Amino acid sequence: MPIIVNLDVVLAKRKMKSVELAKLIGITEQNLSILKTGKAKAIRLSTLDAICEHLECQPADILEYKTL
Amino acid sequence: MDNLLKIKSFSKYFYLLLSFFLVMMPLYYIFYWAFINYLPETLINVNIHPTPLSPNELSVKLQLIGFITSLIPLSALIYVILNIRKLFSFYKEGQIFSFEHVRLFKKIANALISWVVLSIFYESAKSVIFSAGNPPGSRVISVGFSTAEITTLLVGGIVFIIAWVMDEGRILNEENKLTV
Repeated sequence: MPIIVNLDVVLAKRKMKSVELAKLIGITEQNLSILKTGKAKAIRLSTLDAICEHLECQPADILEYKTL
Repeated sequence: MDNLLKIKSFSKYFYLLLSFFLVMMPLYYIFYWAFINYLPETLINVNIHPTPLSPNELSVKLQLIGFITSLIPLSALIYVILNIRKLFSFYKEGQIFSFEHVRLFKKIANALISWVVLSIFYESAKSVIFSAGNPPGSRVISVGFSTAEITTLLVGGIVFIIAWVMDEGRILNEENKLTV
C-alpha cells in the first residue's frame, strides 16, 4: 500500500515511547504496533484524533502518500 | 449473558452430546445387525402381533454382510459428527471466525451429501439382504429416494452457503482486527 505511517518518526521527535502513547490514547500496545508497522487496514478517526492531540501534530505528519 | 458467553456454554453441551452420538452410532448399527432377527418392524404395537423387521430369518453370513455394508454410510455419518464436534470445540473456546471454520463447514456439507448417496446404496443393499431368503423370482432390489434424503441434501446445500457466509465473516473479522 502506498500509504506510509510515520508514527515512529513523530514519536522519536517528541521523545515519547509507544507504550506511553498507547496508554494516553487508550489502545493496546499491540494495536499501536500494528499501526506503526503498516499492517493496519484501517484507522479510526477517533484514534487519529487522539494521536494528533497527544503528539501535537497534524494527520499529515503521521500519514504520507508515496507513489510506488 | 452476552452472545459469546452463550455460545461458549451451549457449545460445551453440544460437544458432549456429539461425543455421545459418536459412540452410540456404531453401537446402534452393531445392535441392529446382531439382533435383526428379533427386532419388530415397529417398536410399539397395540393389539396387534408385531411383524418382524426382516421377513426371513437372516443367516450369520448375511448379518455380517449387512453390518459391513452399514459401515459405508456410517463412516460418512461419523465424519459428519466428527467435524461438527470439532466446530463446537472451537466455539467452546470462543473462536467463532477462522479459516478452519470455513473448511469445517465445507467438509460437513460434502459429508452430508456423501451420506445421502451412500445411504441410498445401503438401503438398496438391505432390500437385497432381506429378500435373499425368498424363492428365486421373488428377490428384490429397491432403490429409494425419499423426503429424508431430500431434506439431508437441502441441509447439505444450506451448510455450503453458510460456509461461504462464514468466509465473508472471517474476512470482516480479520479486517476488524487490523483496524486501529
